[in-house]
Amino acid sequence: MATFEKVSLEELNRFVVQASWNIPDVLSMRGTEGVNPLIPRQLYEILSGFDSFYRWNTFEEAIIDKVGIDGVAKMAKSAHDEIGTKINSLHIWCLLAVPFGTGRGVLGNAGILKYSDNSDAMRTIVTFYKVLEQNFRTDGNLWTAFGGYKTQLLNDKMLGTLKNSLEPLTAKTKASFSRFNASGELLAFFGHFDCRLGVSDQGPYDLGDGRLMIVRDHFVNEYHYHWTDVCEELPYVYTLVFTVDKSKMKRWIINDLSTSYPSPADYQPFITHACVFKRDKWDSSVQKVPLGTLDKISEQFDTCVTKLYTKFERMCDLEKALCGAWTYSVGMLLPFALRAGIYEELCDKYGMWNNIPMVFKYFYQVNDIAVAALPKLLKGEGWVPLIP
Amino acid sequence: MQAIGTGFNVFKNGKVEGIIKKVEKPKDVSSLFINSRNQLNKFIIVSTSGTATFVAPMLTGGVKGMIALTGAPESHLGLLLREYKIPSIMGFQLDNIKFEDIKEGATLVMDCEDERVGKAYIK
Repeated sequence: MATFEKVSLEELNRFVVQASWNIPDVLSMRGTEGVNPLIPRQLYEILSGFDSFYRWNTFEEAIIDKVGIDGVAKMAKSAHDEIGTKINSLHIWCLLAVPFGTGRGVLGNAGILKYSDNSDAMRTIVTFYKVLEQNFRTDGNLWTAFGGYKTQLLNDKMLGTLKNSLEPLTAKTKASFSRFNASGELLAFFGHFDCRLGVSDQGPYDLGDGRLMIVRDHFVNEYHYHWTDVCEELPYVYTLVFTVDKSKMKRWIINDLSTSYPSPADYQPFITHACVFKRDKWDSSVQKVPLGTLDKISEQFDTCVTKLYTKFERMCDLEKALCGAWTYSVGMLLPFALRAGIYEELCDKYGMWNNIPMVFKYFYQVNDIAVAALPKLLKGEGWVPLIP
Repeated sequence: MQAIGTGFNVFKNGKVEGIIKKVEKPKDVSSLFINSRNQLNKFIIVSTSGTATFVAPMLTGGVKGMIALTGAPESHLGLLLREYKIPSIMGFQLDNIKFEDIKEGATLVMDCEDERVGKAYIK
């Protein structure tokens, strides 16, 4: 086992305090969305808290053991010259928020685990998160709120490549691009069980010519999940690169969830240029996609959404809850495990997909508290006490 | 016209008129999609849930408008409704009428002229 310097208890508690502000900042409006009759989101989010709280440190230590702390730092830096990967703001943010929020926060509030449990494991989790975040962000800030809600990652060379790939949009290609954007985003949400892990924005990048550039990933076929077999003909990810007329936008913010909040909200009329790329697999090369093919791809997206809806309707609540929980407890670490070349080992040797028994022991109890507890947490109520 | 409530306007759009269809369970959504797919663009969906995947086929099917009794424009569904350019009001508070008393088939008018507040009326 590789040794590495973990954050101190004092520094760990500073993260707890800062996260208590950050989580409501990014998620408070989520708390209003109510129950999803199709997918038990609140339930699976809380179920994921068990595995993230009790096991992520083991997986993360295995990753560090494989590639070293320098290797973890290098993973984070890959975001500076690559597009179409899940090494993004949201995945990194979740590595802190989920074990502390839905794990320690909700389950601790419910008395299912003690706040003093697992504190050494929490030091691993925060250390892993800290190394990623410090090497991922380019502005020296911990979270986007500290830097004006921008997520600017790409180096000048990559920005230049993307800028030179942009094509001016005609009325026809603009309509096609808008539809492709909407349909792809819906499918990416759906394939990830109604969470944002399938979509990611970065930017805005001011091109200096009156345009702001946004780089948007839609992970439409996360083939590590069994339910996305209906999407098997699609590539792993499409990356949409587009510019908006800066003079027409009051602001464009992108928060830690890799989510854009433009103002005006209806920004599509101000899109000026675009291009699209894809990767067939998570580690395939990036290829450009002709704008003339977008309508056909959008139809494929819509078909996949219909198939997924039918598939999910046939699942019982337990199956949906487990699948959703996996998008968190496995999915959030997945890109890092793949990069470290250790994903198969985490599955075979560490049983990454096999939920701990507490998930099943408390399944029905958690169901009762999920809908009430999670919105409170998202609004900052009952945040966790410091680690003793 | 009978005012039925207000909520958060997802994006500024003007006034939209359509036929009311209500959805409460996944079966309501899938039945509507299967049985009325070619007419979805005439319907304004009134949904008890403001969650994205629940109403997904309504988005791909191109409904005329959406009113959700929960949720906010900053939610997943709010983001998608903007991308699909479907006039929508979320977090809609019914006023002097209950969800079960809203009659399907009646004509609903959504007033999305304001940047933040959306209103709805039954004709």
